[in-house]
Amino acid sequence: MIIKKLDYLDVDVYEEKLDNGLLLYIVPIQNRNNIYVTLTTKFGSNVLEFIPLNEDKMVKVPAGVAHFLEHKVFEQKDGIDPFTYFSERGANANANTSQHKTTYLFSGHSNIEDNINFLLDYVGEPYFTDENVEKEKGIIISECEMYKDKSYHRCYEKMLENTFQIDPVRIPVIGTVESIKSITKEDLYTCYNTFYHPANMFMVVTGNVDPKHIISVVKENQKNKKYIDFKPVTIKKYDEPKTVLKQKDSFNMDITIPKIMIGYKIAFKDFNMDLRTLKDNLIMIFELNFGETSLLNERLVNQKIVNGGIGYDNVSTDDYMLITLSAECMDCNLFEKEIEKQINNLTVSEEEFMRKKKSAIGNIVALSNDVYLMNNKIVNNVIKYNEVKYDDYEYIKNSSFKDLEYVLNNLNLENKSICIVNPKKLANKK
Amino acid sequence: MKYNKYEMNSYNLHVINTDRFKVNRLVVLFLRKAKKDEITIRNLLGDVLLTSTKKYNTLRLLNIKTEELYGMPYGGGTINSGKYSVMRFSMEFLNDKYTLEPIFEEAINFMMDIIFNPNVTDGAFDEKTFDICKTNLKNYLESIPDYPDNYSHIRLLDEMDKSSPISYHNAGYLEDLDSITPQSLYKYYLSMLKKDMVDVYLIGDVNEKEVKKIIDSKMLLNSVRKNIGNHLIKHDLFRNKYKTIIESKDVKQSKLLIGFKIKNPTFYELNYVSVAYSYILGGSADSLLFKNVREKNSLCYYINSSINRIKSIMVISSGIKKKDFKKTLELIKKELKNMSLGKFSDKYIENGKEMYLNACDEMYDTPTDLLNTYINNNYLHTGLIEEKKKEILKVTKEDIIKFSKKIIIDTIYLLEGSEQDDN
Repeated sequence: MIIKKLDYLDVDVYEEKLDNGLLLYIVPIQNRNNIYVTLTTKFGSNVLEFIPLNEDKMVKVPAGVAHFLEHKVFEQKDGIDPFTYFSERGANANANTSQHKTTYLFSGHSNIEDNINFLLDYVGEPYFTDENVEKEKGIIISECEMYKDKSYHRCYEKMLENTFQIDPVRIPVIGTVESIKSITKEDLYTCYNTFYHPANMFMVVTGNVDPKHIISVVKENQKNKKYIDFKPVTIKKYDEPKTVLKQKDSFNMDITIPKIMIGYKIAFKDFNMDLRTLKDNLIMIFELNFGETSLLNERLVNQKIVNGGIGYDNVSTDDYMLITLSAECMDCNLFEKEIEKQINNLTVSEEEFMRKKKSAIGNIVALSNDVYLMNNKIVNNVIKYNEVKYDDYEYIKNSSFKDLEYVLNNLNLENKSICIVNPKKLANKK
Repeated sequence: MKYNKYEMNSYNLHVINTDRFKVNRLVVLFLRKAKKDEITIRNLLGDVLLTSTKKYNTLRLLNIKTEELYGMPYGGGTINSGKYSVMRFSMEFLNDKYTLEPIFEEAINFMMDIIFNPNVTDGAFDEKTFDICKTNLKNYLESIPDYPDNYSHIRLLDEMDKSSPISYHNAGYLEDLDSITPQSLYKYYLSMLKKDMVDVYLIGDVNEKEVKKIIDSKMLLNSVRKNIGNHLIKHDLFRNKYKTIIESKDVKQSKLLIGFKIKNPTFYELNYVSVAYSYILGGSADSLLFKNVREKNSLCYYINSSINRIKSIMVISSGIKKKDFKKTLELIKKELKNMSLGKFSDKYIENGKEMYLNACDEMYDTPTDLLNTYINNNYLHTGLIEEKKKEILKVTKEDIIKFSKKIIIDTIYLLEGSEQDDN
């Protein structure tokens, strides 16, 4: 067991690595009642081609398999429903899948020993049959359809599909109706056996806990479970080109105000800088130029070119960051021109930079105060950096304006794509 | 943890002193009886106040100021709380232990500036700010149908009873928006300052004397006002046969909503029995609806029931395929019947209680939740956390069966989507 301190925040993190490779991170947070437990495998929707554990050939699995697997892991041979099990013990259970990970979780402070054991047990014992896999398809397709009615969500999916040429990030996490229909029990077992090995997983416990007790509970649970030796999985690497697949796209929906999204695909290899600093500075440049405190945002709102303000978002792969700007606006061409002007004239000032730093310090203090946010921070750190970052405060304090200027000066925003959602019934417009 | 209420001349100050958190939370509430034709102007007023002040005369400058105050969230808005309308202003800010320089007084001044130092000249709100907020609200109101979940919910309540406060639209009405001017808005603002009930809540590790002094010097109110009455809505009219409304929209997924009115519930039923009832019926992934409609029959991804205590209503909602409407409805009816026949295991009641107890304990964990228990107790007399924990344990199966007979189905609303099952 190692105890690490989150600098400045009065928070200790207990790290433990089990013999079978499972990593544990435990964070007692003073004055909290709740306990939040997450169990994560480093397997998300982006993994579609890999060499299964103890095999030697690359296999390809249908899109959406990680998310499908998340649903089916809840199926138990003895018929016990995990949701029931947890609710009998006062805990809320759930799970989620993203591009890089799948997480099983519960929150609730009573019966913590039982609940941790059960989380490890149910995630550790799959039970897939042709019948239960088939039955799940209706539910997942219904989930898929729900997202199709959300205009921002659909536009974002289209953006990923158009900016990336081969990287699986271009396919929705949930998959497509066709790919969901094609998933079999065998696909699920192949993925499960390869990626749900304890050495590919980690557990994070935050809140009202005694770390030593939790560690002993987990060790005891894992002691009698047999796992074959884990070897790092070979996952297909994609040589994603710098250029986008499609520069312009649009589709129609039953909405009132048109929506536009502009995405910039930025290659990390254009810079000579560590990834954490690079990513943070890239986001900072967009925040300063298009965010709530930018003059451009103010002007576009004042001139009623956009409704509400400019939104921004980002997603990263191993080699690229996609940053998107989005807005609701009656005249999307005008918005596009305004953004283009600013893109050709990006600026940053040291005064603004110092102010954003203060805001970032506020964020990490608030985060260390919250059972859920603290847990998410650790999960995200491990997924992104393969380790927990303990120096957030020092890192923010020491971040330099020179780095920001360097990123700005080497920034290439030529590779972009635009997607517009048009109202179907333009005739009804007032 | 210590709670003190100070009755000042024209407002109440509530301080919850606790060292549980690294942040403080300040909430200022203005209350008056909800009137349908005031919702729009009241909502617009909240937006305008939060968009510029005399000192920070654009939203950009307000946002810059919050970043200087370590970027904690601030905001507000107007909501209908049963018979009352509540305008809320709130912000969080770091305890001075975690800042390089003290910000306590500055943060309070910032919030008070938003409320009491608006961007007003010659008896009218700043034209530019007003114009932006009015356009935003207009766009928002026009685009409500773009969001099927919210839209179908609004439509259901409208169909249940258009004249009752249960259906008052939180954001207001397009037809009321046009006539509002910067002058009329300012008049409304003055009447709010003069007549509304005002409560100020502060939670955090604070020096109470200092807090009282700082806040009182900023609260520019002088008239004395009446205490507020009961927020809860009571229903008098119930349908003998439920109403069915089917509308179509070009969406993939159909939305099925069922609205119920609760007939003459007791205080205990509304606050505690309803929690257990709704938990068992459709309040979790372990509920009758989730298990039977989703898990057994694969008819949907989500299905849930929720009870709104203040409105005395229950809503069941689900996203389904158009062709499955009848089948889903039958299954839901079957589970409603099972509830009223007591055909559910006692274990469910115990689970519901256990979940409720845990949720209660969790309310101590964030300044927002903890503060809200005090606000709710003051307005709705719902009890503080420890009292809630004691009361929920008294719920019995007989209580739930009795309560289920008071849940009267009122309206079935289907927003019918397209049937294609392609990509």
